[in-house]
Amino acid sequence: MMSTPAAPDLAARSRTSLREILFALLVGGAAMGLNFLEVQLGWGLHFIFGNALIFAFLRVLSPQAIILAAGFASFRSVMLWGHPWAWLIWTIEAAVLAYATRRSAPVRADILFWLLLGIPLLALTYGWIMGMDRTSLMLVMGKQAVNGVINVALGEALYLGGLIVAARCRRLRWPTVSIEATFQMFTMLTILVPTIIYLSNDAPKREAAAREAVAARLEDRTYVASAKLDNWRQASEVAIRALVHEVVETGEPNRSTADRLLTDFEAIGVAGPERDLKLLAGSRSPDHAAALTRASAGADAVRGSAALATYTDKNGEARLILIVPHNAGSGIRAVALLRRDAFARVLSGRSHANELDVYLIAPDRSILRIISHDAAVLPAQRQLSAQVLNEADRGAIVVGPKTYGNSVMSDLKQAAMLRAVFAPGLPGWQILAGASLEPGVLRARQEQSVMFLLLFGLIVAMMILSAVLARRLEISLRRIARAAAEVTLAGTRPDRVDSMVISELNDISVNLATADSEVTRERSALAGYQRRLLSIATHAPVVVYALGHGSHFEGRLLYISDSLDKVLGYRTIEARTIGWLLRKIHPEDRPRYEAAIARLQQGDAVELEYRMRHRLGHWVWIYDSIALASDPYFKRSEIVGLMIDVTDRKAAAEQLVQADKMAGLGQMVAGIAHELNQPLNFIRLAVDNLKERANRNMLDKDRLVQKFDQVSGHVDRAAAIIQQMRVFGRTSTEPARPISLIETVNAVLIMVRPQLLGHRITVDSAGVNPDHMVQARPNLLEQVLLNLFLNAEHAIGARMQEEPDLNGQITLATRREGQRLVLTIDDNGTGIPPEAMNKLFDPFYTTKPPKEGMGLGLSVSYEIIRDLGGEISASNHGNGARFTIRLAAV
Amino acid sequence: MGGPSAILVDDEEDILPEYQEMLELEGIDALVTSDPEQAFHMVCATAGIRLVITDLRMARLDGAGLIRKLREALPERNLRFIVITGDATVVHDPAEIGGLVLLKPVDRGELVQAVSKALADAV
Repeated sequence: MMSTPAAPDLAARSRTSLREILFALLVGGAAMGLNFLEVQLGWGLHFIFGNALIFAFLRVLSPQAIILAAGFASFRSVMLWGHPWAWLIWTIEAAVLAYATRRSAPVRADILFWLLLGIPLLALTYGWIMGMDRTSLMLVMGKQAVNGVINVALGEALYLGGLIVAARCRRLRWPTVSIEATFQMFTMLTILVPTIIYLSNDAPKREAAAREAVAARLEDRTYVASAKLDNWRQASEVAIRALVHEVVETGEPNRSTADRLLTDFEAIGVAGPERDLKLLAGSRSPDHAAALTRASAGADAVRGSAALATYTDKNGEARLILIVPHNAGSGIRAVALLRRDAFARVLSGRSHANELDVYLIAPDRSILRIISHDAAVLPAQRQLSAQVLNEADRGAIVVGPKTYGNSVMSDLKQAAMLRAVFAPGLPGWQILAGASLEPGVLRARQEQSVMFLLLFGLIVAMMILSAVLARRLEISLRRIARAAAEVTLAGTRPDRVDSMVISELNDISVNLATADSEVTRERSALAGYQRRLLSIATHAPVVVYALGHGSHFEGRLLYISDSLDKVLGYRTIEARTIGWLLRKIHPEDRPRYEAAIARLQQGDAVELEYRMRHRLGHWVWIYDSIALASDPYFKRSEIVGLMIDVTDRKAAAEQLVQADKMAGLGQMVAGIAHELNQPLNFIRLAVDNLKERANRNMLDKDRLVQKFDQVSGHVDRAAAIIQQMRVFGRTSTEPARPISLIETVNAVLIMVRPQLLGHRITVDSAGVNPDHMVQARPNLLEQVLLNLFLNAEHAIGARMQEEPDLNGQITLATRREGQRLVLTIDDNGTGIPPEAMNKLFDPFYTTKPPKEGMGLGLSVSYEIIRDLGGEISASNHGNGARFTIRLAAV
Repeated sequence: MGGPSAILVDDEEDILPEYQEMLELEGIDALVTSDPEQAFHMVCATAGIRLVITDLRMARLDGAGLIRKLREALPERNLRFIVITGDATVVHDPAEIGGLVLLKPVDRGELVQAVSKALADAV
């Protein structure tokens, strides 16, 4: 799975179209929606997966579209968190991936991005610009990097899934995925998906556990504080009442009681019904007196039980005043200003370690710090709502200084837990204990950051491992591919490829080596065949050629063997011009060759003979066997021909024809001589008679003229006989022309009829249609007919030996059969014996006794008719033999 | 002498008048015919005929057949036979044929001499 085919696809898409922009926005919108499906990691930490959807399109969208989609999808974070840094880094991540995917596996590119750019950028923005603490920054770095890698791996998985679907529908041609990318995708998903699932289960539980622990402490603290406060109030009430009582009884406060009270109170006074304050002990500052006076005046509501009042001193500090009514109905009440640290002392625990903040909440919900630390949970000026206090009264609650929508990637460590209880005996007052979550958060974050850094380290390690493995695999595969190519190409022994990593590759390598030896063996065998074939093609007197048929190869010699030189004297290069073959065929034979090719059907083989011009100028008789073959590889058909030089055979055949003629002449000579003697006899007798009459002076002119005319007629007759003997002349090269069958039959009959009549054989040629014409060379056709007549004469003669009274009969007839004319020659001879039927047309086969025939006639006739493009066949018709000649009609 | 003394048979009709003219010029009264069958009947019907001059190769009945037939039919007649044949390639045995064999083209003197001798012998 190589990613190279992706290049043109991406290049074609590099110009962003409006359609692509809209698609990118659509993907970005979907990713934004997907971002709401977050995985909680506890303490305000989340994984979000919207970018996975965008990364799925890394290979099919242009880089610009990817950046647009990513920027659009995460833009919400700017609004949500009030800073653009996360958005910026994510957008840069998308940009880096969009461009790197062309050359590198996306997962590797993303890991390298986070190592080289993302984490430094986080350090710069979150750490330096926003001033995030080190632990949180480490955590953010680890989490962001891991989140990014998860998204890329998920995107890859989505793409791979899409690719599998796309592969089924062949219309889509998506870029394939490299081995390394696939490896890394699987590795990352294998590492990260279980981790996420674990974290999403575990982190909230841990967070809850931490909260519960804090809540439990708060519960304890508020319980203890309220008990202590109650004790202190009761004790203070008793002491103050005692002091007032002494003053009422004795007019002077008891010294020891006063001293004891002054450890907690700064000033103590008593007011009568008239609200005239009398300071009993402690500070006598006018400020304090005024504050106590106001407090006693404002204590109307206090009935019977002690109450607390607040006052803000001149330093702006909130102070508490305890108001203790004396006897009910007396209108006398004691007011005591508490020392600043009085409650802190009362409420503080035994140890100061892990001390929680304790506050008193006044009925007006103002907050008084009792015990607090440097980083106070509640700032002094902070007001708590009644609702918060009500909730805190029911159980510990979490309050944070900032909450960012649903994504609380915030400083949760600034959050705190609060628990409030109503102060016993002090209506409207509440004790509030607060604990910062910071230690728990920091501890959790430290653990998480360690985990994320380890995880990221593992990711980097696996990335390197998978990159190395993929590289090795790729090298092995390339070598195997090259080896396979070498096996199919050159058959050279490829280097053995040792993958060393993947056992299957070793197997393939071994199989390749086996295949190679097989191929080498086959190839050498093939080379042997080819060598032998080439040797035959070069040295045998046979020319093999292939002629283009149909399409634009029509008439082009696609191949011709080197033996062309041997047979026709040409070099193959000379023959490679269009139409060469036809040009070299004898003009008389060319139409036959063209007709044969035009008629040729797939799978047919046609044999024909024609003359071709030798390079030296003479004609060479070629026997050509042509067949139409289709070449499935090039999807074209070609005519394959096999030329053999048959000039010698042709010459021999011509000699045979000649020999046959001579044999025919031998058989005819008696008849011809007899026939010639008839006119000679007449001429002699007529001349002798004239001479005798002249001697006797009995010659009259009319008789003389009449006689001369008769003599002249008989000279013509003799000349005609001799004229018909031209068939025995050597003029067999005259060209074929349309000739009438009846004329041919008559020409032969002139020669043979006397001889036949002499053997009591009559010839009936009434069945020959005078309109029937054939294309033939006249003297050759006459020779064939002559042979057939002589053959019939012989057959009839043989039968006459058995049946002396037989009258010989030869019947000729013609008929039309489609495009052909059929000439039948029937005799009433002995017929053809069955054993002779098959070899009737073989040369030198004869049933005649020696001296009567050489047995060439039928064989030569067969050759002649075949040369004329016709057929000759023999059969028995019941009362003798029948020879049938089929020739093309004109 | 009254009536024809010889008959000439040749299936070549053109030649018959020439033969007849030649025999007439020599004072021989002869019948001519181109049909051997007719010739047979004419010989049988004409008692004066002592000489049969015949061609050898004829379509329906060849010269040899005619001679054989006449010999069989008329053994009491002392018939003489002269054969005139155009078949130069075959050596003809006079004894086999039963008469003198002349080759075409026939020599007038030779024929006249043969006819005269035959008629003289047959008397």
